[in-house]
Amino acid sequence: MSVLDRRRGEIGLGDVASALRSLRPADADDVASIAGVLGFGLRAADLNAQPAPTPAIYDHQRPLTPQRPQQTPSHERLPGWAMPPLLPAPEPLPDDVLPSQIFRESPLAGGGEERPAWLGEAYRLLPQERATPLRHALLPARTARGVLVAALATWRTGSEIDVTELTRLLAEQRMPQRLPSLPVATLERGCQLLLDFSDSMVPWWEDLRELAQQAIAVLGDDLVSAYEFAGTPAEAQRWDVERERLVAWRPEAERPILVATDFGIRGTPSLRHGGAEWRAFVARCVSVGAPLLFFVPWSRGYWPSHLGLHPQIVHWHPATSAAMLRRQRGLSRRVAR
Amino acid sequence: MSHYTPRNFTLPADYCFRGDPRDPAESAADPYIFSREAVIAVDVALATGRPLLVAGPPGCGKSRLAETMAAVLRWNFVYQTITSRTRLEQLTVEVDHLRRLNDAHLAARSTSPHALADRDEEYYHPGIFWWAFDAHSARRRGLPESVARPRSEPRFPGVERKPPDEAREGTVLLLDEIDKAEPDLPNDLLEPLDRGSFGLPDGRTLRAQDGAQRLTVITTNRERELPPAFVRRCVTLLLAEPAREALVAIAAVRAPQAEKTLVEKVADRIEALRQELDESGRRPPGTSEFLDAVNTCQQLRIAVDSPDWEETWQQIELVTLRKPMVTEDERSRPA
Repeated sequence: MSVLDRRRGEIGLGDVASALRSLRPADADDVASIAGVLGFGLRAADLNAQPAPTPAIYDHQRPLTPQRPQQTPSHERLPGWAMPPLLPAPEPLPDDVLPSQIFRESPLAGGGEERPAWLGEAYRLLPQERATPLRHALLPARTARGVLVAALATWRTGSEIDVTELTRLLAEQRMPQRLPSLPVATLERGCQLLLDFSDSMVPWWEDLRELAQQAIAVLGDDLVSAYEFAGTPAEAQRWDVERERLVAWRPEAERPILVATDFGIRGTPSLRHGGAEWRAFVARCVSVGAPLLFFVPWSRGYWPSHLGLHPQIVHWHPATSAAMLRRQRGLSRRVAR
Repeated sequence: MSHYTPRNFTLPADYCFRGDPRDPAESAADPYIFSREAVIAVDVALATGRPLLVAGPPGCGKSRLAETMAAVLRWNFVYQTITSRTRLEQLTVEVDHLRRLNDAHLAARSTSPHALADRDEEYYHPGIFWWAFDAHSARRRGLPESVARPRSEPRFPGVERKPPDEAREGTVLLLDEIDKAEPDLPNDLLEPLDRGSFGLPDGRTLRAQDGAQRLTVITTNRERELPPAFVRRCVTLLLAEPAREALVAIAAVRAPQAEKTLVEKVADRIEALRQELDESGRRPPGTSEFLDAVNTCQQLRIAVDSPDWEETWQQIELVTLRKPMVTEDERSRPA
């Protein structure tokens, strides 16, 4: 047997067939259960589906729970929460059920009547109601995992010895005070997610929600703190489920911050991006050593140029890949040095 | 739903494993009630030789399923809890560089001429995959048979069981909480899981022994998503929280001394709490917390018909089931 032949690969119909032959199921129910645990049929469970919507991210389409403060009109609202309109609660169904009966209709009497003339005429189809166009996610599922890992990974000291560095030191006849070890990329610091739910970002509100879910899928619920803001990221807030109140954002030492925003430009490149408050925001992140990334749905020509070298700005686009991000991060690190 | 009889292992008709008296007390598996889905999933995993990926909320019995299967099959049981710092090398083989460096220093000083081992393998530290693939080779740190035993024998990382007469040796390997790992680890595991082999530091490949039986169980709390390529290689089982009747049945085997009225009362409270906490986005209590509550009442001799039951129960519920992370004072304090 060649080395490659030993590979099992993904589970396929062959595995289902061999399991059914070997286990000899007694009835159709057993067959469905066996196929289900192998990922086939309606009983297959999606283990990657989120067990429940996370309370950390506010679902703007969910009816308000009693704990959540009621939404205020858009002009008086607080920044950072409850901005999108809510769907009305469904009408309650009546308690009583009306009697109903199904019966066959006799065919329409016909034959004798003359066929209406308009039936033979050329007629124009009434315009069909337009189907909702398919939405293309800014971060498609196939690339989301790689992009977010590349974007949010930080370095920590690993346990593997850096043989190259050790050899160099010994060759220079220098005895190291401590064994040099190789750094490893890690997501253990999680991230703070600052989502811009301003009017200017309306076309991407769905993407903002999706980004939050994607970050949680990659990092885990406990490691993602999602905040919302409108206009000024420093005023971002999040809903604390345990304490049942809004919590103001503040940067945490060395914890990556990912801001999804368009800088409020509304697609106008000539508009200057409220420079002072964005610069102050960047300075605040720098002061605690928090890596800062901006995901911007507009291309490079629309990006501000006055934010300095610390933040990394990424084009939030379906074509953005993990490799591009790693290259960009490597480049920005070199430039920063 | 029809009763399913597993083909690859034996269980009583009520799917209840009540323990095995042959196991010494310190390594004996606790009683366990299988769900029908779990019985089928384990049977399929054994039939196809695929890893079993078990998902479910904390405390619903995912890890215990693996431990129990080892006891049911009379196989060895090796396990490792995955953390964000777990690497593939820890699970397969690591080289103890520090011990080697130390031995080299001692040998250079001539205090002990035999301090440095002749062979590199002496410094190999076998991980659980090595133990599951070939326990004999792991015990010898990969030294060839022509060489005497290693100077220090590594410890078996789990429970060893002697197979019944004429039965082949088998191992249940548990990788607990895979969702805590860095995102690359599940992909790194494809090689040992897929091919039953991994590379040794000296370039050789260690393969699973021909004929050795193995059941790999991987658990996840679904805190992080797993790579689709990894999930598609596994038999999957989603363990749900047991309903009220199942909780009462579990308590009957895990806490047999507890009064039935007490167990039913606690199970009722669990059901009510699950609904209440679920609606407010908090984590509902699991089976293990239910057993904690029952055992607490049992140990403290709190009877459901005592006059101060309600008051005492409120406190027990708070510490065993609700487990609030903030006080009421903190909650009412302005932000």
